[in-house]
Amino acid sequence: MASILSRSQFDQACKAYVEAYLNAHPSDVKRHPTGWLWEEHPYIANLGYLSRTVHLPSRPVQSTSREDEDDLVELIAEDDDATLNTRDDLLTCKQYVVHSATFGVPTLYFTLHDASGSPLPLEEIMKSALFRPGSFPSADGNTFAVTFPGSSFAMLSQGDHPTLGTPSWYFHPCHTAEVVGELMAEIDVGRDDLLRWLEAWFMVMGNIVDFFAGSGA
Amino acid sequence: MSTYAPRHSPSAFSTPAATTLFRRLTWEGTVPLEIRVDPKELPANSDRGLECYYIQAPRVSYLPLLVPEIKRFLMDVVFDENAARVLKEEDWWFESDEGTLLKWHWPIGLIYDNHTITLSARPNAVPSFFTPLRLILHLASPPTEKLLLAPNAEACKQAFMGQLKEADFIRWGNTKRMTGLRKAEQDGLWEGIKEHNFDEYWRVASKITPTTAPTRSNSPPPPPSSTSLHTRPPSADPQSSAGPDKDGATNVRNVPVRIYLPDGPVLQDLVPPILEDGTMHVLSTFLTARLPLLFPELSSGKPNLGYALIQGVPAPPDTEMAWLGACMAGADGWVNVCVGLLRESA
Repeated sequence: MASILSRSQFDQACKAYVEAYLNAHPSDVKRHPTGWLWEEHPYIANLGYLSRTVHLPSRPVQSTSREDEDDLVELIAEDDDATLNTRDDLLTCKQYVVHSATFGVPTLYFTLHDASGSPLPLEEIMKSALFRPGSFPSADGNTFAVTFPGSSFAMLSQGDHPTLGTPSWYFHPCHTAEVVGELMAEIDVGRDDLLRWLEAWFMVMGNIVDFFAGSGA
Repeated sequence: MSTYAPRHSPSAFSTPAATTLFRRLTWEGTVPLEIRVDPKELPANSDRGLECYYIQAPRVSYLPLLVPEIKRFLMDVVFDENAARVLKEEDWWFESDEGTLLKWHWPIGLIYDNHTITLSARPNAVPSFFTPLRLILHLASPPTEKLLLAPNAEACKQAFMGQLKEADFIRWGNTKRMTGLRKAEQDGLWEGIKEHNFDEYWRVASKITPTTAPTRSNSPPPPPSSTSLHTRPPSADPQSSAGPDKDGATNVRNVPVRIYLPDGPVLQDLVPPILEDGTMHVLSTFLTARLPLLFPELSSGKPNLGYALIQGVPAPPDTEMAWLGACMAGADGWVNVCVGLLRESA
């Protein structure tokens, strides 16, 4: 299957996904992220996207380096043991799966705000529960983007949500299509299995983003 | 720049005079801005009444790049010494005078045209040309619920480079032309914008921007008023030993184009330079396909309800999309089509 999704294929894939995982079995929950809704622009066609809101526990900010990863893991374990987070400690994460008109693939956009409504700065976003530890290269002090050395595009940067127009963070989609394409080739699915394509995409993104952190809205 | 044929064919990147002319016109385009410091934030002892700064800003530039100039003015004219000492540019941010958030990462020309078309959709719209876009400059930290980040030149540069790479990808299906540039060259593009230097920018941009058919030395150049690329089909030219001009504007897969609607989202989809029936893709066809209610089919006899601004110019309906991509794109590689509503004259 071509590793590019047209707008209409994207729409079909998303709607199929929402339908498939609307009433997810408990055993399914940790395999396929659930709770997504299909939204559309009020009067313009072909701008639909998936959307959901999750609440994440906040973490204490600390200046960890890669060597401190073990300590961080310990700290996380302690966090989980603590009493259930009060609403004051919860971060609100809005997540969107959007079709990239340029690259023809789904792209993950998100915003992350603390309990008082302030957006988190990049440094704290990278350390938040939204991401698997070790997902990012060491911070280079940049406040507006995360880049992998040698990569043409920034991995994570700011942009406007294509339909809502609001400022948001997004993962650059340029390599996603290749990886998903390879995955699909190995799984040997039917050419038109758009639902499987999106599931594979969530799996690839799931290497960086923890879709199962926190609780749904 | 290498030639690609042993005979006296000119460099593959030489462009007819018309192309250079339009690129220069686009580059030199400016829009009037009126920038006013929020009166509530003027430090004590400021010279009030003078805190408005007027500037003809280059369309291809960006708001954060204007900050140094604005700061110099404020320090010279408005602020006293104490205030000047505590100025923190990194906390500065812009707002429209209607209180809406400004897309500081958009080129200034786009911000202006977008404002023009937004006004065109208001109930009491009055056609007005060349009125300054009024902006409010805040000196204190931006409201974090509105902006993710305060605008700064570095973030702007990265957004700019990202747009260039996307444009590259849309044209050729890869970003090899952009990534093939040395770092100094890539930086040179942004420096060209910062310094507003046409030659510095185009020295690098000509390597990645599609060209119109190069002039053959033994054939007359196209007339200066020509906006068509079909002066001579490259593949049919017996003089050309390199086959079709591989960087030609009609050889791109798609032209990087976006449509801006009043108060609306940004539309983007595939815009091939040549349609399936072999004809050149022109602006009227492009608009009719995407906004059929505003731009009805020519054959229907219905009048247009909208107009299209490109770099502030109401473009003619038979303008070729490929030509726009080569000659009137923004410095970030994108052809931004701002669609406004036509009003019946009062």
